[in-house]
Order: sequence, then structure tokens, then C-alpha cells
Amino acid sequence: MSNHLSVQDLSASLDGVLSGPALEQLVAHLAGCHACRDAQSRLAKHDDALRRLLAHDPDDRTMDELARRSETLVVAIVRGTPEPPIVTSAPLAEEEDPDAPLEPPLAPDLGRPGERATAGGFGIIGFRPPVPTYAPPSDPDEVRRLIDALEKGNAGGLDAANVRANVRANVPASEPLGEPLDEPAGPSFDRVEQPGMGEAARRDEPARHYEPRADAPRTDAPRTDAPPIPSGPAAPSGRGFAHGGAWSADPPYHDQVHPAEAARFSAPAAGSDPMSREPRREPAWSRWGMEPDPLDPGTYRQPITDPFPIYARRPRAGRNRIRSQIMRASLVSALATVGGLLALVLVLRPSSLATDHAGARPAGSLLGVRLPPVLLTPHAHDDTSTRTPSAVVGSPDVRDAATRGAVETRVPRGSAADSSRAAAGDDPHAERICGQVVNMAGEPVADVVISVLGAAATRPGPSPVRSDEQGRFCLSATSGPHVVVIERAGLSQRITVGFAPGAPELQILLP
Amino acid sequence: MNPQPSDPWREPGPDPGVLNAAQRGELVALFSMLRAHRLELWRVCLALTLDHRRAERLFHETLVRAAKNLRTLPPGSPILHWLTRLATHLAVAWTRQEGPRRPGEPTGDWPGGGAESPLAGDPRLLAALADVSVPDRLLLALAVVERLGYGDVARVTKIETLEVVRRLTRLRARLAGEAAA
Repeated sequence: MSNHLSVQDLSASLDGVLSGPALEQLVAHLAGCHACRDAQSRLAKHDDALRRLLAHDPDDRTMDELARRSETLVVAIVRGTPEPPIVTSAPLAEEEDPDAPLEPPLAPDLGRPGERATAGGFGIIGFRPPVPTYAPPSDPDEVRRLIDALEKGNAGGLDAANVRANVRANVPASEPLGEPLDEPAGPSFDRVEQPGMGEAARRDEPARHYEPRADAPRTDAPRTDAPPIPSGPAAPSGRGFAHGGAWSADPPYHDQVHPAEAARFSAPAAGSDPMSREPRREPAWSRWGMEPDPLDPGTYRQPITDPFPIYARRPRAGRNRIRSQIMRASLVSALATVGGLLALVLVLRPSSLATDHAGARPAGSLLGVRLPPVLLTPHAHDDTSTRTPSAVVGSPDVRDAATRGAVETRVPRGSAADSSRAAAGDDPHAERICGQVVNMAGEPVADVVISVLGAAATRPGPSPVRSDEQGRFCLSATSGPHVVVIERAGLSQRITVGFAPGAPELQILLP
Repeated sequence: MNPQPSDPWREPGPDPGVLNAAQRGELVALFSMLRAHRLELWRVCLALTLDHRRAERLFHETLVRAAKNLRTLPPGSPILHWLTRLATHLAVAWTRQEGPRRPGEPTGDWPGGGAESPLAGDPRLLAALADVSVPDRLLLALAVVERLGYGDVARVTKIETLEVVRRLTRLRARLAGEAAA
């Protein structure tokens, strides 16, 4: 057994719940035990740290603001108005915008390339970007000189004006930028690629090609990894990008255009007259940019310009076949289920018949399934006097429409029932049941008061009765279930007894 | 004016007249009940969440839940005990929704955070406290911070007194890094 204090004792001492002899004993032990004193001081140190951590009370202003927000919510609840959202002084971690940048936005020069390009005028048709489309050339010697100046700490060599001047000296004379392209006056809608539209304009004006300004030719070659910049009038390649009324040479997606659509992006031949009366030799569906539908002969469709394969369209017949197979399987399974249920019913019915009249089990109850009671009784016109009860029970007679229901079936009366009725009196509905009262040891119990509970009409015989020395008694009542009260030594017990002709002897077991 | 109770944890339930008025929806009575215990409730929320912003939200949600269910408060019940249990249930529900905390996961925003945090010099204790379950954190807060006796802690949390003693002993041993006796 340890001689030191337990953590529970130390914890209780810190909580100040010890008093009296327990506290004196603890203090005495701590005075002489260095280890327990250390353990207690360690626990006390953590308690102090917890107290400093968790007892952090906000100032009154913060608390008032907190209470004000809470009261706003409570007022809305009490008045039944829409409850405002719960807000905190700072958003929770899960409430912060996941799309918000974690860092402050970059300087305009370091922004995203797309924004910078948009701000620079790129992507605007008919507008020349005011910024060069190539990176400024770099002079390795100049860069090396700047690095050397940095390493030597010569800040004067890094004068921003000098650097810009050195860099600008290598930049070619820039052409005037930021001006709209020179376009002749005229309609700006699509004139070429839309069949049947703008025919007059197409006839009046030839298609215009994008021609970079040639008044300031470039003197140096751009970087090798930069896209080539046209330095002169674009040579007509026979294909162009016709959108918004402006033509540009060879947009990058022309290679993905379906061959049937290529005509739409082809520059019209010089001198061609789209409105000429000369009959065209190509079929109409081709002129309209359509193609025959291989899956539906005789019809034409818009060409598929994406790489989606045509054979991916599954024929409808295959799907119908699969659907019919599924329907057939479902039908077979449904028929099999119905047949199985019918077979189960046929199997269960004879079982219920066999147990009905034998009395071993309530009629119609098998494995928890309540089946309709089936009685094999003689027909109403049959002479029961010629049959014995044993012959009736289990008789394989088939019920027909004239067969009475279960509640109407005549119950054969035995001689015992007749005698009990005679003993009960002349009342034809009076039934008598005799029995014995025994205790747990099986010994008869005398002087037990037994009575039938209910109106006087249900008690044609004497009631209450007392059990005799042998514990025996006899009760009379009308046919049917009755509540029988058994009283002995101030204790009362109630049971329900069915009074019926031929009922077995009643055994009452007292504790 | 609503003077602060001398010992709000041990005071009996609110005055029946005030409680009835608050249950009828009188805002003055309701606010007088809630304002009287806002500081204690704030400390409980802070101990349950270990996060300044989440403590604010728990504080608001507790009062909202209390306003909605004030009719279920039986007369004579201490309202601070009831608010504490409401806050604990909400914090436990939050913890269940968010899943278990991963070991080593940093704790949340702390008032005065950074180097000015009261536990800046002992981050291990804060991490160990964050690994403690919410109900156990409440026990520590009531026993250590609010300095309630075992019987009072048992009354607030509706836990048996012996269980309170056992769990507090185990928690102290765990936080101090000692083996439980």
C-alpha cells in the first residue's frame, strides 16, 4: 500500500471540500512528504493556468455588445418576427468565404494575366491593345551588370531610372497603340458566314481582312517562344474568322472545324458574286452547311463538329430488346411469386383443418398467421343422430354455399351438459361448471368464496358458493364467458370462465 | 436595475412572478433574467468551445434556445443551471456534427490571442484541454474556474456527486500528466 496521498485526495484538497480530521491528516502528511507536496503544487499550477485561461472576462463594452445582439434575436423570437441570423464579432472559420483570397490582392501589375489582358484591350475586336504583345527583350550583359552591382552593394547602379532607360533602349520603337483599327464605314454585321443574310452588303463590299498597321515595322525579332507577330499585310490564306464583321487570319480553332463547315469560314473568292444567277452545282443541303444523317436516310442534320463519335448513338432497337428482356424477366418473377403464394395457402389450409376440431390449437392460427376458420360439419339437412361426434370431427365433407358459418354451427351436446342443465333448473340457457380449488401443493382448499360477477340474470344458479372440504364447488351461469371472483382471506382474484355445455372441470390454483 | 447576484450559481430559481412574466413574453422580465447571468454564461461558453468566436455563437444560440423553450423551465429551477445545460447540449451537438478533433489540431481563436494569450507560455495545456470532451470541460470550468463544490457541480450538471469526484480526479491527473490513482 502506498504511503502517499492519492490524486483524489489532492484534488479534493484543491477543491476545498476536505474538512475536519481528513483535512488535518492531509496537511500533516503534506508537511512531511516532499513528493506529495510536489504533486499538489503541480496540480495547483495547472488549476491556476486553467483559471487564467477560462476566466477571461471581456470588458463591459464587449459584453454589452454581445448582450445587445442576443437581445435582438430574443426580441425577434418573442414577437414572432423572422429571426435574424446569428452573427459574431468575427466570422467563424466555416462561415468564411472559401473563395476569398487568403492574401490581399496583388498590385495591378502583378494581377492575373486574364485581367491584365482585358485591361490592356486584348479580346476586343477592332481594337488594338495599347500594350505590346511580347515580353520586353532582356540583355544578358545588362542583367549580369545589375547582379554584380547588387552583390557589391552598389545601389547607385540600381537606379530605377537607369534600369528603365537601359531596358527601354532595347525595346523597338513602338507603334501608336490603343487606337481603333481603321475600318471603312459600313455595316458591321456578319456579311459572309451567314447564308442568306446580308446578301446586299456582300455584293457591295468585298470581304475585308485584318491587316496590321505597316507604318511602324518592327526592327527586331521577338522572343523565340513568343508567337510570331505579323509584320506586314496578312497573306490571304483562304480561311478566316468572320465574326462581328471583322476578319482575322486563321483563328486557332480552325483546325477543329468540321469539313462541312469549312466553307463558312472560308474567305470568299475575289470577284465572286454570291448573288449571281449562275446555278450552283452543289446540293442545297451542302450549301446550307448540312450533311446527310447516316442513321436516318433522307434527312439532313447539322454537322457534328465536336469529337463525339457518331457510333456512340445506340440504335433504338437494341434498347427495346433489352427493355423487353427486362419486362419478360419481371413478368416471370411475378408469376412465380403468385404461384408460390398459392401453393403456400394450399399447404396451410389442410393443416388448419386438422387442428381445428381437435382442439389442440385455436382454429385458423398457424405460425402466427390467422387463417379463416374452416369447420367440417355435416350439412344442415344431415341427420346428426345417425353420426357420432367422432365421425363428424375431421370429416372430409366439402363445404358448399348452404354450409353454415362457424358461428352458426350447431354444437353437439353431450349427456353431461344435459345433466348439468337439469341440475341448474329449467332455464334452457343455464350452464353449470364444477371444479376444485387447490393450493400450490395440490391440496384442496375449503371455504373459498366463488361468485359470478355480473347482473342477476347471468346467475341463474346460486352465487356466491363456497368450496367444500374437498375444495369442490359448482357454479351456474348463462352460456358464454363470465368473470368469476375468487375470494379468500381478504384476497380477491378474478378469472374469466366460459360457461358452455360439456366444459371441462375448472381447476383453481391458489397461491 | 438588476443587481448582480452575490452567488449566481447557488441562488434559487428566479422569482415566480418574474418567471411567469417572462414566460408570457414580457421582454423586460426576460432580459432581467438573462442579463443577470450573462458573465457566467459567457465563461461557460468559452470553456466549452475554447474559441472566442465560437463562444460568441454558442452564447447567442443558448439564449435563443432559452427564449424559445422558456415555458419548459419549471418554477423554482435555477435559470443559470438551465442555461449551462443548454449550452452544453449545443456544444456537444456541434462537436458531433464536426466529428472528432484530430490530435495536434490547433485550437481556435483565443481572446487576446498570440503572444498575449494567457497560455502562450503553456500551449500544451491548451492542447490537452482541447482534447477533453465537452462535458468534462464543463466539470473543470465549474470546479476550477467557478470554484463550485462537488455537490453544486452535481446539481448544475445533474451528474452524481461521486461521478463528479471521479471524473474531476481523472481529468486533473490527465491534464497534469500524472497517472490516475
